[in-house]
Amino acid sequence: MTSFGEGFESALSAAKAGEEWAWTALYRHLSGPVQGYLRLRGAMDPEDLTSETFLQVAKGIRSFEGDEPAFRSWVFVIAHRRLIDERRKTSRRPAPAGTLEEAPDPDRFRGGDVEDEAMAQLSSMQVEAALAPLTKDQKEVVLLRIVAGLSVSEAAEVMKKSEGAVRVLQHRAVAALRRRRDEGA
Amino acid sequence: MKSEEWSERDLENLFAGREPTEGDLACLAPLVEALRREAENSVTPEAGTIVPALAKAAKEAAVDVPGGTVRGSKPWKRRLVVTGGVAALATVGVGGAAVASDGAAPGDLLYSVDQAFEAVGIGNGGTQERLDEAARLTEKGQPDQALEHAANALRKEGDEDAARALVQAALAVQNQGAEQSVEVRAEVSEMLQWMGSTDAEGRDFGQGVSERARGVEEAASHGKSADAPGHNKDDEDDSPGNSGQGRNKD
Repeated sequence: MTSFGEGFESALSAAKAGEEWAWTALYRHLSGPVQGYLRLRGAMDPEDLTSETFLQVAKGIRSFEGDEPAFRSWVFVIAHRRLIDERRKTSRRPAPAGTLEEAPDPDRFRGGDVEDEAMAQLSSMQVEAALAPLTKDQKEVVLLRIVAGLSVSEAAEVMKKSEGAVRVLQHRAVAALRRRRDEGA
Repeated sequence: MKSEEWSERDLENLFAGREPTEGDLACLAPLVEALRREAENSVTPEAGTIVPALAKAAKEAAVDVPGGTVRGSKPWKRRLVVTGGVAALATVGVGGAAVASDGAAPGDLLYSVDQAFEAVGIGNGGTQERLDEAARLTEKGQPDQALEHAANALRKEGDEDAARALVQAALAVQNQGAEQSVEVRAEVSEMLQWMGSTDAEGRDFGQGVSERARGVEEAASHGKSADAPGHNKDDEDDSPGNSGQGRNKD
């Protein structure tokens, strides 16, 4: 993910003062990764949850102090919490048909030269299938590192784990994905 | 079976969308690229529709208008709507003192003034103001006191289970000496903010508080274990071949 850059500090100050241009910039910069993360984590309504996340960010931004990486990390902590809230609520209701509770078939992600080419155009469903062999924590690390664009230390903060543990998880995740490719080759 | 001893650098290259030097990982590059596209191509609500609401919410939080952002049905929120009007009138009548003291946190010189105004019906009072005070304590680097302050407020509202969870979290922070941990402060700040804005009630509210309180405890204990030389509880299940045990930042 590209960095917001030198303008972050002024955008943050303006956002705290309620300036719309700053919120437009922050929202455009982070809403895609937030929604992508929530969707691939299996949120029932990622679009709605993304809006809720940003609303909470807006309400709490006055108390935020930090640089751009810290801000990005904070936004994803809130998104992560919102997802847990949603899961708690929906756990008391029957899951609607067609949700990610029905695990994607990992066999749809297999190795081979033809597949190599096909993977360049992976659809969203295929991406979900590709991640299916991963454990919950491994998947979360992969999504935080790649989709959210967080560093190891930032991902560790969101997951409440040590940096060492995150490194172990990402190593295992890559190994699992690699093995899945080998099995299909 | 192929070696899985990829270097830290190779994994970083892979995740960043750069070509890994280890050819063994190159086959995963398309998947990484597809994941990155997921973020870039997510169709989020148009900025034009949500940005005004975000700017308004931030502005209201900055001004701290009494009752201005109240919605939902938690008892303290309903009270806040009523007392907000009183506060607005009262602040006009007694000059700036009530306004100035309303931003005080426990321990500040003006806090007793704030309490005195509330005692005679001037100022917001209620749980929402206690949560705001707790947030200010967190900003001042006193998350443990913030938790206790919020716990007292919840206890007055009858949310005994949630209050107990907060006290337990406060004890964990104190016991671990984690008051200055950025992670702990971020957790407490997020929790207080959620408590003040959520529409969750009853059991949902209690569970939400308890989960967040556990997050604070974990952050506190994580801070301690991270400082302890030679021990990392999360690394205990390391797989053979894992090479990335450094704690250096990226």
